[in-house]
Amino acid sequence: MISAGKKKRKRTTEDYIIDSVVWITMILVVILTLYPFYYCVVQAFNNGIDSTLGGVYFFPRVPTLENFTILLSDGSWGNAIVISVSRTIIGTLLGVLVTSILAYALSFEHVLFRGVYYKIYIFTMYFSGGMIPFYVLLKNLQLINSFWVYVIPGMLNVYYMLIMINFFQTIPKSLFESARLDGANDYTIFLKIALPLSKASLATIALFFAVGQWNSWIDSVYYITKDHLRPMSYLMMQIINKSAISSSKMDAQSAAYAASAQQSTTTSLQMAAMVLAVVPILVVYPFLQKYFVKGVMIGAVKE
Amino acid sequence: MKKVFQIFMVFVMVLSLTACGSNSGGSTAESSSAADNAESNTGDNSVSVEDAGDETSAANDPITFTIFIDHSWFWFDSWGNDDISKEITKRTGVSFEIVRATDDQQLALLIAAGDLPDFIYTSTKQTMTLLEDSNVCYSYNELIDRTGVDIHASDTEIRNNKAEDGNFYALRNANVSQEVVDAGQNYDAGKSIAYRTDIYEAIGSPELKTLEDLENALVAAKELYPEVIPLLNNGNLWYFAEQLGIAGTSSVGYNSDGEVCYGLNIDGIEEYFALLNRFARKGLIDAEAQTYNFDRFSEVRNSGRSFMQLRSCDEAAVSNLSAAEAGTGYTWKLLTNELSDNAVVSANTGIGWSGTYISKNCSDPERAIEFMSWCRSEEGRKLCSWGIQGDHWDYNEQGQTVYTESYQAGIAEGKRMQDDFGIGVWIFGDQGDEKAFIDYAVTDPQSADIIAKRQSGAQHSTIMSELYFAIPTSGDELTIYNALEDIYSSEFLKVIFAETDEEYEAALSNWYKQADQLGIDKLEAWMRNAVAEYWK
Repeated sequence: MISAGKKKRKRTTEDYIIDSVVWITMILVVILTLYPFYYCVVQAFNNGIDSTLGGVYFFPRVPTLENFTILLSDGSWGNAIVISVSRTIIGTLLGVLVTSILAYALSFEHVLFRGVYYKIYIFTMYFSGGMIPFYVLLKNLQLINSFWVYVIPGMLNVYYMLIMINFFQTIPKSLFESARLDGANDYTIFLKIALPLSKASLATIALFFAVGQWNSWIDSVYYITKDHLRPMSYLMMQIINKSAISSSKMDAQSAAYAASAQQSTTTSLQMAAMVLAVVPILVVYPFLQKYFVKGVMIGAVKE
Repeated sequence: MKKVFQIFMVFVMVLSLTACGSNSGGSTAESSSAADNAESNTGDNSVSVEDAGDETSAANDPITFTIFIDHSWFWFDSWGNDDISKEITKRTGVSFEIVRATDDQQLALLIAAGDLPDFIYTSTKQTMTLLEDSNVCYSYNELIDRTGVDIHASDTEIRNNKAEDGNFYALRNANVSQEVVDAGQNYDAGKSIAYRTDIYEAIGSPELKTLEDLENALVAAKELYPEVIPLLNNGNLWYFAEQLGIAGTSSVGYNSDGEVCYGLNIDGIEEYFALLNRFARKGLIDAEAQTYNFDRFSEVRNSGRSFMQLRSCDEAAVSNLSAAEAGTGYTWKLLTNELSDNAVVSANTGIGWSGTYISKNCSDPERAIEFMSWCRSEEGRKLCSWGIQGDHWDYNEQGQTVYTESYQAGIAEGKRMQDDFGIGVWIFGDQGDEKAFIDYAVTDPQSADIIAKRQSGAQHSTIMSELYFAIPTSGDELTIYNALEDIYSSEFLKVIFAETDEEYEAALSNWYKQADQLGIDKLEAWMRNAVAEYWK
């Protein structure tokens, strides 16, 4: 009878040394990566005035929730959270829907003018008209100062579309053919067969869309002037940059006026704003992580 | 049938790519064309001139203008939250929907896209050049001719604000003449030093009348308190150039022949660099502090790690307030005198600061110019720069203007003039001679110090109008100027923080070499020509 089990290899000194080096290096990397965020959390829960005295590194010296209370009691933050959540949910849903529909269509070789579409979409990945034509386009489409400016322009992402095309092409065509033989049309095949099989890639691009929507603030700077449409990322950027004079080329008189307008914002308040902005993503991410890991390898292995 | 449907969908997609949106369905005051505005304004013109009897009611009818404020640090981003803006609305009927700039590029984008609001309030020279275009903004003289309002501007002011086409599209506020400065009617405190009283007493409370006194005090503090930064600055090191009597700014001034030149060639500039290098070698200024933003500067100050701070004239007041809140027990006092009889505090161009432009998209340009006329009237200037008579200021028995007790009490409690009262914020029509009026009946010692510093600054201010026109706004010269400005901060730090004489000489020599390579000679030739044109 042949023994099925393998004999365990005896660990050598070299193995222990290598393992120790790897462990130490990875622990250092983890500390270097996580500590800055931990520091932000500690500062966010420390009294603002006390923070200015310095020396708060590992635990809050004067613990308080005051920083979060200040932020959340400001009406503009409450409204900004609503805008951020809305644009993230709506932007992600629409983005995933439009991108997946287009990717599904283009995943078929026989689509009319497929090559032309491909070339146009790839071209837009490298070239654009620039900010001014884009602004004029948005203005003509009545999207300036509208909530939909957050959602519509970003509905199609060509890079994510390519990821999904690669994935759809890995689905055996025989599945679609057998569905067609059973009387299913393209919409039914897309909704009932293609999409359910694409959970990994859908979750991946949904995460990309969601993070992009949550963090985006530049669109609210240039395309929105109404305060009630400002997202949280914009307010956070304002708090963090409140003490900075934006232009290094500011004339002396402006600098003098700006100096009188400067007010120091406690580090704690800035950190509390950062924590508020990051926590929702941190909460959602673990649930999508398994899909994200699968999604990274999408399209890498072909039939 | 399916193929027909598919071809139809492709046709629809192609059509959607070719269709362009238009403004006709959703036209607003902001999006009307210049031609439309010109037509409608011809009709309105007769109303505002002929119906003089109804002028008061028409002038005070509520109207909301949109305004873009091209200052990201501006005190307010909405109207009606302070005493002064409410009073302006009460007296004129005008209120504003404010868009405050978030970065430098925003206004340029709006100009390029033709999406300007009714008013634009900016001080950026390059942007002003873009706005001084009859297709973009109304010229004031055109609107004055139409409405007959008095804009309360002197010939010098109009001349200083004339664009290339001979019109003037704004009148910069906070402008000032040498006569006004000499009469003590304008003060600009400039950069100021605040010192911590406990350390000052520990080093023997020395006199601080000269630069040498200051240096000795900093050295003594460094010896007694090695862990404290002797002089913590938030930028502003040009203060020492001013105290050395160098006329100009870090970007433009006068060379040894009295000709306009770029900052590197200003007469006396090497003395300034040498002074700072000496300070740095003695450890009196900190290299890392040159990277601090205002929050970090405040943290270092509040934690007691500095002896003197170099910032603005309210530094002592702000420091004391922060220390009281933090419970540290530190107190600061403002240095109220200059450190040299030859000090040149604030080389003021006198041209002014920000201009208020009326765009071609303005919904009611006649009302807009009437509002600007009111802002520049005595009533408007007093309200916006001084506050509300009776609430914030008043006349005493001798007829002198004084702050009211309630206002002074508010300031003593830590309230701020602009942020909490709105005074000195909406200074669209300020003409620079309103500032130095509150000399009397100030009981709060900190306010008295600030006034003393401002008066000292007033005695050392010099108007140098031509310097404003010596800075290019377009062309190769602008490229050279921007390139020189871009390398300024890094090379400056290398020079002043050089640790040996050899390093210092090498850094300075390298800086001048780079400037030569970038084309400083060409820039300076243009500057001299521009100044000659100004004086023609």
